[in-house]
Amino acid sequence: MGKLFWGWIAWFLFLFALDFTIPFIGFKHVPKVTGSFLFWILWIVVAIASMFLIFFRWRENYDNNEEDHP
Amino acid sequence: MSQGLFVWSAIVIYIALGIAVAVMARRKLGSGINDFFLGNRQIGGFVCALTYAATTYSAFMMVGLAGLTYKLGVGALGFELTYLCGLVLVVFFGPRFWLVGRRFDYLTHAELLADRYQRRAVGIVAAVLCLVFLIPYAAIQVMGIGYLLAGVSKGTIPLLGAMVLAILVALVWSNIAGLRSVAWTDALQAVIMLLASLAALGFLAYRGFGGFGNFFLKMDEEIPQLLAGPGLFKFNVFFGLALPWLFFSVSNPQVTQRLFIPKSVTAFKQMIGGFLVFGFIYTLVSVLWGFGARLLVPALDQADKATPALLALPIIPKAIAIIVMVGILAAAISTIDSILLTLSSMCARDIYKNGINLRASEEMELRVGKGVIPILAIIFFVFAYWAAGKKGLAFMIAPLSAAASAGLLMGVPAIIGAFFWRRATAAGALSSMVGGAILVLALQVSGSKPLGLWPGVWGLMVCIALYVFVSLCTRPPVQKAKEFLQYLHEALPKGNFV
Repeated sequence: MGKLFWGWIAWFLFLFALDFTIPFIGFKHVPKVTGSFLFWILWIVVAIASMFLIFFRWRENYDNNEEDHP
Repeated sequence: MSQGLFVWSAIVIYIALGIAVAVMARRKLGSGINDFFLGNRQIGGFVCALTYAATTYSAFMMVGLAGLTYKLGVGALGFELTYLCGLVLVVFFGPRFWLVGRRFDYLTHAELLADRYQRRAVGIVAAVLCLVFLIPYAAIQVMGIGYLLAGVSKGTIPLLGAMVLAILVALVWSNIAGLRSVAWTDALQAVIMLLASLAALGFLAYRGFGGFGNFFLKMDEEIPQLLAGPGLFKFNVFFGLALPWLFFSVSNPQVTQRLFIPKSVTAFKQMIGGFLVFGFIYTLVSVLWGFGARLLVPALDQADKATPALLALPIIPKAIAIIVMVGILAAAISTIDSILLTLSSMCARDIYKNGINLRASEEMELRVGKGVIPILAIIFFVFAYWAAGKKGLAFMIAPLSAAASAGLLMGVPAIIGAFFWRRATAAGALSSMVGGAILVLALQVSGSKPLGLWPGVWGLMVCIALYVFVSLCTRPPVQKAKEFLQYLHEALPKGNFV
């Protein structure tokens, strides 16, 4: 597991930290659609885009000896 | 045509369509247990994405999540999107599951654990854990169908009749061609779920409020208490519900089994990408549906009745209401048949073959698996019938779902450790699963939440502590750990997996 792995782990931990804090603190006194509602939508769009960035790089040749396996 | 007849006609068309698809899937059915329970690991990306979505998203979304939004507000959106973000665990673990599944020919994640920790008891305990905690989860799907059909048909279809119907359909579809018929019917059902819910939301927004702009304006004006911060969610409730769901993608066997089925890396990528897009849209629709119900039918005695009440309003055309109802029915049945199939494979492989009869032939194993399916279906039904008679937050659909996930969460340290911790042992895995599950069950049955924390939170803390401590005090399976982790160490970089 290299730097890339731990970098992505750190990034997603940061995103989860935002998820569990921002709406409870930052938008506590914003009773509007533009508060927590919009925050969570933008938050998940960033998270989904990050996941796409990770798995777009995957390749087929994961196992050069695949025919040996069941 | 009367409402009841209209509803029945739609259900008959839906079931006939599903049977036709399942029978088509049967043409591709080969022999052997891998073919029946995993589609011989040769399922294409499109079907993988839709079966993953249909299995994951159930009656909970348009009934339970809408009800939770109705009652507690915007936190329901955060809670469900936290789950969706939890799919990052599939991005990290999915390729690992998939690779070792092909390399060592695993049928279930319990079998993976038994082999990795070199003790059959680990697989048996993991399978029992899934059986115990998935019963309430499957039962709430049945309850969801009962509430919905009884509501939409205005009592023409009784609660009991609707629940029997759901169980029978799931039973037939899972038996016709195993995973192939389940996956194909799931694909059909996922399309119905998404299109029906989008159509309904469109009618709700335009006929109920005059467009989305006005819809949001009404939300700001009339229900500000549900929009401020997390709505009416307290932090411990939000955390207690969200934490088990965050790990749903690696804790629930009907989902982890789907990590074994894509036929290629490309199919795997399509499965994840397709599911993320589907999940984002479906979550948003379900939450807006709940807010719409709160604005248009604000005085319901039970939040789970929000969707049936909304569908009964004149702003939703009768035909659309029926299609939505079929969509929700599809969501529930696709989850029930997937759980039936996965649990039966665990009974056959992890409990029967690896626990009771080590010399069982593959044919016998398959026969046991198929024989268990109707027994499980009866258990689901009995639990649903019992739970449907209860009232209050404790028996709302969402907390029931989270309670099930809290129990399944106790398998997560052993699963994660299997891929990352060479020093992990069978004793550590066993003690964490058993200790955590007993604690979660005790807290759930007693209804106690020490320091305000929910059972899943306490269970996970104790579970991790037991896993680490007991592993450090016992001897690891050195040879297997080396073989298992070395294979991944070599295969992961070749596929550019993180």
